[in-house]
Amino acid sequence: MEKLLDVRDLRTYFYTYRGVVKALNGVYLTIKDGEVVGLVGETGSGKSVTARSIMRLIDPPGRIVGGNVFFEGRDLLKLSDGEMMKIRGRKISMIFQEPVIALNPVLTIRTQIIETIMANRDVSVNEAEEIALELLEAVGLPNPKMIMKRYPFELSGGMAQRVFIAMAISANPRLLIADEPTSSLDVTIQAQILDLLNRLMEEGRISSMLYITHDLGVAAELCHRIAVMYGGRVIEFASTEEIFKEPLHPYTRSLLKAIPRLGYYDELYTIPGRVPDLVNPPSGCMFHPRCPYMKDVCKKEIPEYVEIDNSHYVACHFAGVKDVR
Amino acid sequence: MWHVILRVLKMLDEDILVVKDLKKYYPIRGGLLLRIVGYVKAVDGVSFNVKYRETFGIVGESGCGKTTLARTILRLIEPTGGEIYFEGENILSYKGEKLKDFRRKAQIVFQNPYMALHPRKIVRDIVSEPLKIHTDLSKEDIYDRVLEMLEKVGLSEEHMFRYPHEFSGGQRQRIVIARALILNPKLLVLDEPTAALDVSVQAKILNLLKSLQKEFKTTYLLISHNLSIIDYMCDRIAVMYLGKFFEIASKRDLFKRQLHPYTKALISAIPLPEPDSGRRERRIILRGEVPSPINPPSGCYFSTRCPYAQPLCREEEPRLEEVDEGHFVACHYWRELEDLG
Repeated sequence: MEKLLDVRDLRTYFYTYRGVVKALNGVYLTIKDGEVVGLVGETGSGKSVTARSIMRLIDPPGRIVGGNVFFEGRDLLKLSDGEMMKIRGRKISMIFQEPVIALNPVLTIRTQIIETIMANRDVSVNEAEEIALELLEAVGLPNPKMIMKRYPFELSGGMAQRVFIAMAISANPRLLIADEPTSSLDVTIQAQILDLLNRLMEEGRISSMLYITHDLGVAAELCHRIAVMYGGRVIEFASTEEIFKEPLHPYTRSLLKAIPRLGYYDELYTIPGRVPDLVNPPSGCMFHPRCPYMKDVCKKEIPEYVEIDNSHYVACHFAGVKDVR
Repeated sequence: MWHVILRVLKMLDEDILVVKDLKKYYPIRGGLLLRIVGYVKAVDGVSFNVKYRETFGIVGESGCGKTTLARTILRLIEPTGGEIYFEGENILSYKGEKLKDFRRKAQIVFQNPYMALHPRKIVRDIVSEPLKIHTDLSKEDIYDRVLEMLEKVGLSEEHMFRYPHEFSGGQRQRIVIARALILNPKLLVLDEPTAALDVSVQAKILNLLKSLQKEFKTTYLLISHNLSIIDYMCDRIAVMYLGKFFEIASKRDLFKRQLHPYTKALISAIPLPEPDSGRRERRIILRGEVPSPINPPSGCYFSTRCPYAQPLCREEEPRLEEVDEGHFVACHYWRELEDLG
């Protein structure tokens, strides 16, 4: 499979009154055609900033200061604003955590969905309306005609997310970026949305997806490969199976031990200390103040992001060393 | 000596809290004269008991009434009907000093630690407030008690003179817990104590709550939408839906043998961090959404979404009945469903 998206050494900083917040410190990420890649990490690890940087949706005081985002072989960071407009929505589209807020509150669903379709495809209003009805049905909304007349506040979270997904896939994008689309929903509704995304993948309506979540359970179910973020970097990237069965980075291992799981009642593992301050990040490896295997070199040198095993990438000085594992 | 041990043993099996047919209806007003046109039945006839020193969990989706239930039990909200017995006494008749004394014995930890702390008070004043209200300790004694309590929740003396905004979410929740436990209450209601926190911080708070429970011998009433947390923390669990309890069972029973179809769907809906567990294929996906509590369905409230609903389910509401020792379920067809497997 060819690489659809290839993010290299992406750096995004926010220039605030407190100082420079180094939100992304060299992110590497690849997505192959037809693949679902999960981006997991805790609050402030840089998941959403990565997604927004790929879409070039960083507003001041934020700025992308370095790196490349190759999409279909072209570097998105080098495109003009006009060219980028043609990528958004048509080639790469995005769904968000709060669908009710992401929709315009004063316009009906009909206006919004038809506007989206006509912006991205060369069709008349009548054709757009037909496409809209078909899409709303495809995302499992009962009675699409009635939904079209509604305003966002009249929809529940689950319904609004379905509408949003319909809009996002309306131009058959190559890549769908999903930023925690089920985090604000209840478990039974989350199950419905995950089922819908799986079905749309099978039907070919979604081809590739970057799925951002803090829930490792959701990532395990949906993704082929998972990238774990910490302190503005991807610190481990491997197949879902390897991430859960043979995690190499100490942070990934700690995180997996910290989640409560059904049927396990031993004391939960806790990671000492706190997430790094991205204005004054720790020297060397960002994780060193909290790492149980910390050595001198970790304080001094930033570990490189390297391929350890076949397609298993890790940024840790000791990831390849057997006895530290 | 013996009678003390016997009394302790007897107490362990006794109920600290008994709730009978508790109801909280909110009126909906409409029309020109703002007459009452209907009710939101947030809590609709809930009965259960909580034993001394256990952790009783209430799990349900948003809007099922679990927070209203918790607040009603503490009389932060006055119920529409029903009875609440705390240590054998009906707390609904409490007034004045008696009610104040009850507040000392029953405390609450709220979901959002960012909103539960006074932004313009320092930590020492926040945590010492319950002592000032309920005891006549000297300033020095209060200081010592606050310090001792803060150390128990993993904070130190230097934190006493800071404002809430200087702390992270996890630390704030520690302050909230310290304030709730400083009077050594017998019952602590935990309303989604970790919902606003990250996984690694959540683990710390859950461990802390467990160790404090051992130390203070507190009874916990834990409310959460997260079944993994409920499973990790609780001894017995109640499943709530549209203001009613559908199933009550010990944790072991509930995860081994779910009798209500909603409980089954809820447990099967949790995404587990285990790839290839085959759960996705076996998952029960409920159709539709939780109906409005203003206009609930006739018969069983779950009948609109239940994959096994029969005509009887739409006509008659099933009662919560004890079908096995300590295992309660409200479903007409639990027996048939269990045979189905």
